[in-house]
Amino acid sequence: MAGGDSVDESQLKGFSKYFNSMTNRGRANTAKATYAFFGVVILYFTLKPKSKK
Amino acid sequence: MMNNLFSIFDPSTNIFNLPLNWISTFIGLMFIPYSFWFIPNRHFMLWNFISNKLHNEFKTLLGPNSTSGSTFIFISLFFFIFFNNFLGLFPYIFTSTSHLNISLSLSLTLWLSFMLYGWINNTQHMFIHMIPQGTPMVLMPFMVLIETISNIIRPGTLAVRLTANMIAGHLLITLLSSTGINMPNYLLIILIFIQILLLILESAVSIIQAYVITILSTLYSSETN
Repeated sequence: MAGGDSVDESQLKGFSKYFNSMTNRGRANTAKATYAFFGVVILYFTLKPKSKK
Repeated sequence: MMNNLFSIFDPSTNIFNLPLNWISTFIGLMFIPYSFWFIPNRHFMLWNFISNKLHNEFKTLLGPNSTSGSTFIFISLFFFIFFNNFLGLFPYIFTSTSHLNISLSLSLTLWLSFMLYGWINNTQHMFIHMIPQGTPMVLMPFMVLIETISNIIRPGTLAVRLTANMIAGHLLITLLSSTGINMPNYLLIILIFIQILLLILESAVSIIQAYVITILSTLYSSETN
């Protein structure tokens, strides 16, 4: 799997330049961003102080 | 006597509480041919023929970047599982691959080693594999989750697929044969015919399941490189 060699990277602008499903870098960045987002959400709910009633 | 439906799979051969039935796992070793003379015999030629076919299949899947000799482990895995599956069809031979402890030991070890190697040595490559190329923008986060989950359940699916197939086949044969005790002769002939067909099916399933688990392991290995 060559993975994104046929796509001209100079054609991608803005958000799509770093997060896309065509280039290897874009795919890796998207996966990392998704993991980071869910990691932050889990961390937030773990560390959130429990409200006492 | 069958206490419950699955008691036929319970290990029962023992001396001084040592479960000796697991020794059947090694019966397959007796089928590996000896090269005593320089001119190979038919057994040796058959073994080489199958090994070469498997080697060519796996070499294609592993790709040009694979280390030479990587196919050996998968060929050994194929023969191990095939012999255990097939010999279990014979009377009084214990089918060790119908137990999760054998299948899970194989699949979990392989999967864990692939994951550890892949994530430590080729981290960027592993992240790239989380999204298939050409996924629509909207679906990308979901694909990451789906691929992650499918990655995590791989050892389970590999093991359970093999175990369930072996159990299902043997259970079907046992259930049908248990109805034959109080059966009139004219129905018994039909039952025996059905049992023969089932045995042929189970022989095919034993080869196919060994092949499937090996091919999938090869694919998972090729993804890490």
